[in-house]
Amino acid sequence: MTDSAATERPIGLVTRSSVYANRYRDSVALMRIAASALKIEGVERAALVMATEANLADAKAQGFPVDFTDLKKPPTANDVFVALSGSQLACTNALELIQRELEPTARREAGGPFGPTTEPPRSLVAALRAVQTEPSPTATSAATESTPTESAPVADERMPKPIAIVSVPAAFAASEARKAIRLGMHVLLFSDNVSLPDEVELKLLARERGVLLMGPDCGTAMFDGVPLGFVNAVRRGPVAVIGASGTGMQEVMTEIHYLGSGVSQAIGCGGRDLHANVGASTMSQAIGMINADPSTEALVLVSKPPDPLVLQRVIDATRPLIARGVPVVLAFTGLDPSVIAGTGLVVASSLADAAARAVGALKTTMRTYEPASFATESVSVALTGSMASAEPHVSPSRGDSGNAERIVGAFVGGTLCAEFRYLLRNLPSTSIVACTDFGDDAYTRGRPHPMIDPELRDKAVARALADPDVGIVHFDVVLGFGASPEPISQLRVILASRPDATRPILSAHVLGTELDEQGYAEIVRNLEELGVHVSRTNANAAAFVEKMARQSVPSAEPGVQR
Amino acid sequence: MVSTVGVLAQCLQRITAESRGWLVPLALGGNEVAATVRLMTSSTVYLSVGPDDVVLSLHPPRQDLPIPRSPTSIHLGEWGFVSDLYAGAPARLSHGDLSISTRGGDITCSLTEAPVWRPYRNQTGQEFESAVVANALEELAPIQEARHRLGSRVDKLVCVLMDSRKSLVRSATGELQTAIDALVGFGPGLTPSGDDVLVGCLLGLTRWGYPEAPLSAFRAAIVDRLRADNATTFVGRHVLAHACVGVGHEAIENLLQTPGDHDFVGFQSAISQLLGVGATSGADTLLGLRAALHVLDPDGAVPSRRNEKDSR
Repeated sequence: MTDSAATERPIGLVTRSSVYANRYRDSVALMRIAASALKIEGVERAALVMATEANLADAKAQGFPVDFTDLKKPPTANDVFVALSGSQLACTNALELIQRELEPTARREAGGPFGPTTEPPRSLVAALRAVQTEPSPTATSAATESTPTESAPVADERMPKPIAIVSVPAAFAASEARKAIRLGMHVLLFSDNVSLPDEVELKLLARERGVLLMGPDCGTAMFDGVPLGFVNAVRRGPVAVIGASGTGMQEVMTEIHYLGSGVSQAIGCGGRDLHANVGASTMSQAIGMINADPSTEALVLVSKPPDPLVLQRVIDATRPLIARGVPVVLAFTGLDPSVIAGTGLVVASSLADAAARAVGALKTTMRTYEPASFATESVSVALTGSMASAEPHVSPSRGDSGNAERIVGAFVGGTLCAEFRYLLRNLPSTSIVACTDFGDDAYTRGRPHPMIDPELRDKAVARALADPDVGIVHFDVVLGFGASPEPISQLRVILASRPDATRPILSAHVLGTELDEQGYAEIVRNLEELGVHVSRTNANAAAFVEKMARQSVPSAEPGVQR
Repeated sequence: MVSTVGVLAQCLQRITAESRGWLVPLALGGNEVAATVRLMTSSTVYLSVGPDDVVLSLHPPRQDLPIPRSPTSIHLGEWGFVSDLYAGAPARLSHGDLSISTRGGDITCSLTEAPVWRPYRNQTGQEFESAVVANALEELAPIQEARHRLGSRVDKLVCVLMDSRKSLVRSATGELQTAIDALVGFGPGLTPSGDDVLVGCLLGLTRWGYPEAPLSAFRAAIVDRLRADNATTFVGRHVLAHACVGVGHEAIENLLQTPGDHDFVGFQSAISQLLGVGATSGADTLLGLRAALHVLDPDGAVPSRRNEKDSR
């Protein structure tokens, strides 16, 4: 690293610039590192770019020192240039952080699944070899804990096959997943934008090899309490969740936890698994695994409504469970219950309702936790699936004079967005609902998922707050492993900048548990202090928004309750 | 280094019915060309070849990794040697073979056996309704992100190019050079965002009928900027050089060959493929194509301001 002299600025802040020779990272990585540096208290600006003349000139124009003439080797266009401004201490700390991140050996020094001093494997084969020679707790705990005997039928179907998590750019994802499957590993394919033909081919290959392909675009799984991807901290218990939806599964899992029960296994299938061409390949495989899992007493399946033939395949896969008396609940948003009449399956009216129905069907129900802040929200709402009985608490800070004709929803969770939209389907046609899922592929190319960096959601909320035509603004906040450690830091600034009297009604759904590291109770309290009505479940949030909309908008439709 | 453009232009003339990378004809001609491994990623090995530092990129077998091809990219049949490669490793192109020195010993690949791809060169784009295409691009969130990254630099380029088209006499060469200098090498990425915008804009104008005189001035200004050693990264220089001789990689070419208003599915698919290139490169290139449309049809390419993805 070469460090230019820091420049003291009149207001007591400094600017610092550094050059790291031949330390190329792709632009997403550089932006992520810059974002991390910006989170250090006292850092005003941070930028990491290639040291081209244009970028150096731009930095100079912005007041950053770019005079490297005293150094032995001037920067070249193939070096990484770092520019920082802020307090002296903050810039020093930020530079240390950036250096650590850019250092090729940073990750191995920081430790990881292969130990603090071991060279991390550079290929799937090397990783597999490392796991097989020195089993890591993460990769094999499920096998060692849950395989009851060598002769049990579960042994072949589940562990001890290692799990490969594939998270690479879309163009390379299918290739890496194929390699892992051929090596006999289960695959959690986190990458999105994998083509449908590739998905079909990979899932066929996985079936042939007796392993699971979870994904593509699968961000949520939990095996015997070991979380993979975006998962909330929930207690272990007897309910399994299989889903073609990450946040949908998280919603169900957190509600199971809230209701006092726990989760045995959670298996993500990828958002297109129930597509007609894919045929619920992973979901039916996973149902088979759950059927052989002695720790599971109830199962929840989460998805959008599938193609009729695919639904039949799912029904067929559940028959052994139904025959054993294991309750199976479908959280297929919008599914007509009549289409599964006589199958023994239960249809839930919402994700939260699915959790309640599964827990309610257990032979023994644990009830160990009821957070006081939600004491007014009746669990029976979810149990009965009747949103009309909910009596949401209305924030006293909302703008009562606001025009609630336009409802804006800004989501980081795709299924939460879809369910919210669905639950508001009976609003009068005069109400305009505009919901955006910022986790959609269109928004995540070249940038982190909004659960990691909720900037897009926050900007959407800011825009809606400033729009006089918007009457109600709803957003979700997702906590848990993998999610942003500070999911409302920018939102707090945005919300605090608008006087209560002039802004729309604010509603939020915080998806998380008291065990999540982000601090569930504190986040709820912070939002409530800022005048936001906070709901524990997406369904309750939709009920609240619907109630507010009906109060504000005279219905033009006969027979609609106001 | 600026002669990269000249070398590529010469190679273009030597391609006959098929292409296995523009460098191959040089090697087949009997020349021995020295090369050096510059950078390795999981899917690409970049070599700089010859005294002009022309970039040759190597990729894994195409059936394993269908990443967009370019006239100077080659999908090899075997990829295992990459784990033994290191930056700075010497290599040599000779008689259709590529030899690279690795930690595990020298390896040789036969480039003549590499899969064939014929770039669509010297073709004009299909007839299409530019407003339809422009609005489709405008609504893409990654393009909005790219606009944020590039700020007013793209707008300035568009203004200058529109002026150049209106009046060849009042050719604002200085303004054009300033607008291009502001973009070359600017922004994040191994191919800086500004380079990708220029590639998209230049190729769009080339295929969609921008007059030859101002187009030549546009190319000349880019070539002039590339004379400076640190104008941009070696990969940025490479893609700009390609654009200057009229060729982009496969993802850009596919989009340019797809009439957006007549084949919407194909158009969306081509956009999706292009967006998948690099971390930000695809979106930046699309922003460049969007700029070209605006230059060509400032009235038709009016951006729509629909922000919500869904409404009812």
